[in-house]
Amino acid sequence: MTFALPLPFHGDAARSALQSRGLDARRPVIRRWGAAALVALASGFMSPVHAQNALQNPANARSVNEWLTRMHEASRQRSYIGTLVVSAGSSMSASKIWHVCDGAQQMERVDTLTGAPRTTIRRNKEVITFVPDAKTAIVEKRESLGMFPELLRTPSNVIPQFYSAQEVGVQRIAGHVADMVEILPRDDLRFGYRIWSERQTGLVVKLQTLGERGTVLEQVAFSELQLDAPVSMDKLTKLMKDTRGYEVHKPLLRKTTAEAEGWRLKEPVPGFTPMSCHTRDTPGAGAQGSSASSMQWVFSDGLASVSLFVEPFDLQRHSQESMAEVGATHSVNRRVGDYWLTVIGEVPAPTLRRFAAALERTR
Amino acid sequence: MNAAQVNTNPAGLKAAEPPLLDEALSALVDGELDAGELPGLFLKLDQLQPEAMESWHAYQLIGDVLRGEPPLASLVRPSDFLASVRGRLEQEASPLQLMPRANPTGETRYLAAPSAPAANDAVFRWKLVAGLASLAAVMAVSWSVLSSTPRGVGGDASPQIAAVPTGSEPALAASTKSSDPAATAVVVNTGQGTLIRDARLEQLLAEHRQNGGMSALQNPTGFIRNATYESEGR
Repeated sequence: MTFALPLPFHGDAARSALQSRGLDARRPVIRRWGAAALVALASGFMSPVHAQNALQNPANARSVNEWLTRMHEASRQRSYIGTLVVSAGSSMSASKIWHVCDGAQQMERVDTLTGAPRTTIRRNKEVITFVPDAKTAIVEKRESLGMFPELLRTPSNVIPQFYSAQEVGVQRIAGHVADMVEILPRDDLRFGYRIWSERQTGLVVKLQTLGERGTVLEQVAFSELQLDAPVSMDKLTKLMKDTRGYEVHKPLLRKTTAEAEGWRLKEPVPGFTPMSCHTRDTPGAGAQGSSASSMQWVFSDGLASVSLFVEPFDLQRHSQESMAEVGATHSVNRRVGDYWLTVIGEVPAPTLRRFAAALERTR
Repeated sequence: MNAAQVNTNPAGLKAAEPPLLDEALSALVDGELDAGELPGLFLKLDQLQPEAMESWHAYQLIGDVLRGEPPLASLVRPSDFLASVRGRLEQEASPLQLMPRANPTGETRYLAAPSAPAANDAVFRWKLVAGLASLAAVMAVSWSVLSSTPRGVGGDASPQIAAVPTGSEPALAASTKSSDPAATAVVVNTGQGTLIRDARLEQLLAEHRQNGGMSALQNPTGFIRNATYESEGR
């Protein structure tokens, strides 16, 4: 504390002054009280500055894990309605979001506002996607939604090893004041993130994926956000169950392991651990129209994920080893023996090439 | 004012009705007529159409003169005006005139006449403008048709030249070329050279987003970001 005027001293002095002098000496007493009031006011102003210093002080700063947990918890406890805009390069997509949580269950509804209309409704891990144009509804159970933040609390969490968090300021996004946090990688095998986390709740209101030299590859931001909005869970549940007029598809995913499928990585890419592996039947993927199964092996380093897709090699379709880029997502193709490998992930292309080079068949 | 004693029709050719009618009309013009009296007034008007029109015209004229405005109602009586307009309409050649054509069997069949020449045909300038406008329209339509690429499996995945990208899959500056219908490859020009995107890649991208988003940011941002993107490749 920089100011040194002790408050009790003045209080005592004023009280004793009142007692001894009576009402005659009211003016000096009032002046003392005034000074005391001024001091109290000044101390009131000083405390936020003090707190600000504490935040920038590394010892008190929130760590990566703390930030991520806070962001995750925010969505578990609040309901909100907002419009989200995803922009990459020059293109933009927007969608309307409804989110509600009652402690145990989390429900979300996403209506695309750009491109083909699509409504996605999620309850915890179950997701149903309505496509009005094709009158189809796709029902899935997504494992990826339940993994964090439990993973953050386990010792196998490697995020702090590969990323560091730093608060860089405060900004107002969609009418809400948010803390700007930069989560930057410690090596060049992954991308950095700039996250705006709403001040009170910690909810992510804006997220940028940063490439090398800090260029923004992709941005996800709320253009309007209404926190604690009245979202009815019953209505969403009803919507989720109402599949009249829609043809329901349930894509069949068979959970498996890479070893069982006969694949392994010669040398692991630092930071990335295998998360899950499954195969799915892709109709018409094989030659002569027979349905062959393609495998998806998912790796993650906590913030970025990479999928390795392996399917049987088909000369007609798999013409050229190439590379593609969509926003922050890159992809690389390669032929591995009798198989065609496609590696897709939100990581730089050299990392994908490392994955592609390291994949080998065990049997 | 003793309105009842004013007799605008000294000849008294009709019964006591016309003076009352005139009073009612005058009240209507002045805006002093009771709403309840309107149906009765209109009934009388139906019966005594021409005289009522004359009185109406007269009252309008009186009102204008009293207000000092140049009479909007011209000195030509409305009935005369209407008659002359009708006459002119009949004289004008209508675009589709049904002409009876005598048939040997005695039936008359009606054919549509060839359309009359357009009013501004004589002025060459407008012909030129019309021609240019239609040419521009044809060019715009053919440009948009030519620039849209052949659709691959899984729907609207390919980027377009002039049109704004569909918004779901952001595409870098694109030039389109289709190799063969099965592959529907799209050549995308980027700063690093040409890339190739195909429908299967779009599908895998969608699958990666659905099942591969294993990240701490998946909830909530990742999931809603992917849901915003998902528009094809299913």
